[in-house]
Amino acid sequence: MKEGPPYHYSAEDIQRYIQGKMNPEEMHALEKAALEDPFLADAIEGIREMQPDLDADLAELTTRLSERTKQKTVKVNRFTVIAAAALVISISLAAWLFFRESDTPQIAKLEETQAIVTPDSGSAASASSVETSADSAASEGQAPAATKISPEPSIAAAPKKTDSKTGSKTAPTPAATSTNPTAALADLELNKSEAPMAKKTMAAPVKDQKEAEITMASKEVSKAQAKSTTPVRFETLEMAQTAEPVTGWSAFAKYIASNMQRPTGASAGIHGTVPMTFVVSPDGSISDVRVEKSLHPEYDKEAVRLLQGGPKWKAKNSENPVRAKYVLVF
Amino acid sequence: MHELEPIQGGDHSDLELIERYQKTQDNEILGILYERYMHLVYGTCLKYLKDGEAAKDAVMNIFEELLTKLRTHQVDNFRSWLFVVSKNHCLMQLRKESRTRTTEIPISLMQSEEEIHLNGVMEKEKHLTDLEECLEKLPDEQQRSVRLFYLENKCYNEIAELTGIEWNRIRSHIQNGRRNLKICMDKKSNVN
Repeated sequence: MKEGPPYHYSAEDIQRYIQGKMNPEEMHALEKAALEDPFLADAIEGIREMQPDLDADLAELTTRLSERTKQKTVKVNRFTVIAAAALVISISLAAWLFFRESDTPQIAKLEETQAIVTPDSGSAASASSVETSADSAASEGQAPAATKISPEPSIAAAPKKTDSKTGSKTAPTPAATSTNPTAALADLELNKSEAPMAKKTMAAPVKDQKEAEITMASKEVSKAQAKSTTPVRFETLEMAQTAEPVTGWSAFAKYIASNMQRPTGASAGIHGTVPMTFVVSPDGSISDVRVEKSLHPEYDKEAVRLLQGGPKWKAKNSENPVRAKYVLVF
Repeated sequence: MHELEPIQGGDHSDLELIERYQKTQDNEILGILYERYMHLVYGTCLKYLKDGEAAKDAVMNIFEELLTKLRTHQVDNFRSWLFVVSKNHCLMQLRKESRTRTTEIPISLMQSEEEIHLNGVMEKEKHLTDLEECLEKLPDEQQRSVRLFYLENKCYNEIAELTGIEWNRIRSHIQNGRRNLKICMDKKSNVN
């Protein structure tokens, strides 16, 4: 075999592999490639373990990526102006606070240094979090209610989410907000409106996607759109949306991973998926578990056992029992 | 065999795209390049961060890193380099969260890992006797797994069915087996 990874294994290939949909030769070829290629091996392992909705997640990432790449080339001027304005406002507010509360010099000093961090850490990443604070400052200028439903805030919320993990640690945004109570309020509004997106549920990608589509419709057509709309996935996701584990999806995935007893003996080592549907009662219990497509009797049994022995579920948007779907991956 | 997926961005190689990005500073070019490997980055982040949302954020933050680093940085093999950048990003994040010390993996070390080309070794006829002797030395389960995988081109599932060994153990048997074989073969070629 030649130098370097000879094939470009796509996301779809990896998914087919994990779901056991490849034929043995294809599987062997991929396994062999993964042995030579730690990148591919790690990616497969991550996807196998975490069982994400790969299509939806990648569609979301593609959208976020294209939003990001357009940002600088197309809108650089507008955003720079807003970001600069936000900087000036937050620094002058910090200064104002410093002079006003000079009787408590220690706290004021602290806030001042935080404000100084903002321009220092002016990498591309923090620049976009400044943008969002600019947005909140802007919406404060008009009306905080403006952060509600129009497509614009969803654009603002998306890059903000990107930075919320790392960005908030270097704390440029909190510095700005702490000096300005109104902006903090606006910021809170923003956080609220993005809260459902941040939840680790299967529903999150769908929501993102829908928002993304509104965004895209109002803007120019993006490559992401073609990729992100397949009717099949929507169908399954809408099904998944009817209920979720009370513990949340990632805790549920951990429960599955640590409690799975793979069948041994003759049927050992089979890999694939067991899609199940079941009824979630208002009290969170589940009943009438049906295996929609059998993988192997032993594995079906284990799948049903895991589901029934697992955490309670809660129906979304319904007081009545609902039928929900879960696909267990072996 | 496997069907090649047409790569976005047409015929342009990774390096051509990087070169063009360095000339134009056009983020969209880097976006095209990144999209080729985004699923691998995402999967890798999932492996280390064990959280879907954190992994997605990491994918976007790694792109930010690329935007800065590739402005000046010369990269020979973008794919391998991206793997190291991605992995380091995740490890740094874990370190930030746990406040325990971890070390970055130097790029040189990662590349040396990729140089174990057992597939190539297997094809050379003159090694066949050596190989047979080395295979004999492997522990039983390891030997059976390696033989089925490399000599009979079976996939993990098939090996599991044929031997009754659990899937994950087969994977580690093959990983360890090929390492042991490589060491054994290196010894032989030094003696000869």
